[in-house]
Amino acid sequence: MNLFIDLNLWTLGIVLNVMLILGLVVLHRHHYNITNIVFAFFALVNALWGIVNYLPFYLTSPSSILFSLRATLFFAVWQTFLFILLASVFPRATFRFPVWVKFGALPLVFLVSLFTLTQYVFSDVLLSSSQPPRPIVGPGMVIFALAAVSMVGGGIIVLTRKLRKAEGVEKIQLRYLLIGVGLMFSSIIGLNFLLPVLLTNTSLVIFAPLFVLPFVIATTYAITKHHLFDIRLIATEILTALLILISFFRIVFSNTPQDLLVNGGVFLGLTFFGILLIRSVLLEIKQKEQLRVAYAKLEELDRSKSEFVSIASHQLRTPLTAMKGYISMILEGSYGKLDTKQKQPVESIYESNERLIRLVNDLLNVSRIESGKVEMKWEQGSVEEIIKSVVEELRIKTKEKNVELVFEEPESSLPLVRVDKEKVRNVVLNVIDNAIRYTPKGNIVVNAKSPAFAKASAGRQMSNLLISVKDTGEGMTQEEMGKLFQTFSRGGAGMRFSTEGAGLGLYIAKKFVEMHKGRIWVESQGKGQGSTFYVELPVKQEI
Amino acid sequence: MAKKILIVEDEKILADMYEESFRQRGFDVAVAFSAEQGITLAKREKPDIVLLDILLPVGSGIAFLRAKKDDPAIALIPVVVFSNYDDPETKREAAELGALEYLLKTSFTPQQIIERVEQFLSSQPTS
Repeated sequence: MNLFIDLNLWTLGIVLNVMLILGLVVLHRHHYNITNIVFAFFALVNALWGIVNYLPFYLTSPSSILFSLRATLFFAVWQTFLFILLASVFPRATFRFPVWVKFGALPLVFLVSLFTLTQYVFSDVLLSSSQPPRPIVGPGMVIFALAAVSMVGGGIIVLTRKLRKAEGVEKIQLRYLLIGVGLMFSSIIGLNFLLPVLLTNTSLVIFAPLFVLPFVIATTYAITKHHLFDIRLIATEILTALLILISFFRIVFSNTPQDLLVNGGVFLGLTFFGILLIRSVLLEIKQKEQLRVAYAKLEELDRSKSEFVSIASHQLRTPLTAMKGYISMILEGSYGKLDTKQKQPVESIYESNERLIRLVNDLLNVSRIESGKVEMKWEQGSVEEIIKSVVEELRIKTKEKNVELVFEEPESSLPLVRVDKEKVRNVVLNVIDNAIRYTPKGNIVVNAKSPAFAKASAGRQMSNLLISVKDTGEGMTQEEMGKLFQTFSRGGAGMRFSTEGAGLGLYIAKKFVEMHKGRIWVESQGKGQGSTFYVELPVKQEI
Repeated sequence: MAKKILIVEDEKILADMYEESFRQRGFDVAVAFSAEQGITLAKREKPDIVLLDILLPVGSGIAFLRAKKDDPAIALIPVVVFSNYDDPETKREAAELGALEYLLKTSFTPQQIIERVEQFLSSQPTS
């Protein structure tokens, strides 16, 4: 028994000191932060609870033993109340307590805690030389039990809900907090309350300081590894110093040369590894701070770049808008009817202006794609309608070239699917426009199939929407096909057939298709054999 | 009765072009060159619709939308943002402040924007 008392005295001493130091350090770090304040009080009450829980094993008079047993429950009420408060406020810096907490719950907790000091909870104590003190439970124990268990249960529910919603570091901190308090309270309720009260077995009460250890360990780990309360360095230093101090005192109080040797070894080991630990924590903190500063600078640069690109494209677009507007008004006859000889060069100017507008749009899109800043506007869309509108728009170009552009409409209407309409339109436009550019004569056939009928040329069965654009154009080599969807790539045909386009359209089309979790690819039998572009989009229908 | 449109546009060449186009179509047109002037004109003219640029010399189109939202006299006037400033964050903000749509100027000829505005007006409930 004495051995257990001594061992538990050491454990109690360590746990008490760690709790008090943690509480003080956390409070000192941010004394206006409500989470830190509540944690500090929680740590203090845990320490006080640990002390009064231990006292019956040292006191001798029945009245003082009875009082310390009642005081254990007194502090237990505040312990569970502060736990549910901590669960509610964590990790916020400020918190407005509702009126019912201030004027309802708090007075009730105060009353229940005072109630535990009366004869109605522990009416008396049975003392024996061979057994630990055994309290006699009164009828009021039910009130204490209900209060304590409901506050612990409530606190765990609140923490669990927060854990589900949390992300990143906060999620990890919550997880450790929950594990720590979960183990602590389940041990205390099971072994320090139910066992003595229901089965009158108080043999494990003396181990109460151990029950608090899971919370101490979990919190300490969360502090050192996951920035809980952001007190890593000072907590590491203080806790290391404390352990070294305790081990030093063990040398001083060693009874035998063997004890002295062992304790001396432990002291030296703790000192050496403690210094290494502190240095490593310091280095890690410094590196993380450097990373944080570098990341902040990168974010700022990224923001500046995005803003520059948006403003630069805006400034480029302003004169293009004016030209587009006035040229269209001239073509519409707002300034008098144009004859055929005048109309053609004006239409060419309009087209050139449209090319410039598309180039600015493409450059802006490429910049956004490469910065990962493209936003998707998801909505129900008809791919069929999109294709029809693009074909209508581009038909004028094919008539000028004597190339036939045909949309083979599907046998049955394609289902509405969840797409970013503007981006899908961009993809279809770029693919068909590309086909027009590299088809000097013949035809371009656009096809779209729904999941029931789709089958890729490679023979795979799919549940995706498949759009194909088949042309009788120049065709491509394997090498050209491999580079086709890169930026500023136009393929060999591009050099001979067309000087239009910066080679961005297909790159952008590929990125937009990938944002829809789709695929785009090309097939060609070789030079002079035409090409077929495929765009596969997964069918995501709205419920 | 002719519909009234307020165009808030700081680039004179574009303001003149749109003003001319809308007048040719039979609209009454008021033009403002800044957000503040836009609010003043909106309160005075009570237009049926506002065509609003974003990048303005003093304040911005977003400031116009905020001020309009806070003023009960003009809060219900529909606004179509018409700008070359293609910024996702600004688009989101404009939508939250009640803009009907955010259209890119280079995507529309004057004729096309007139047709779009007429579509919006015909879909609006009459007071």
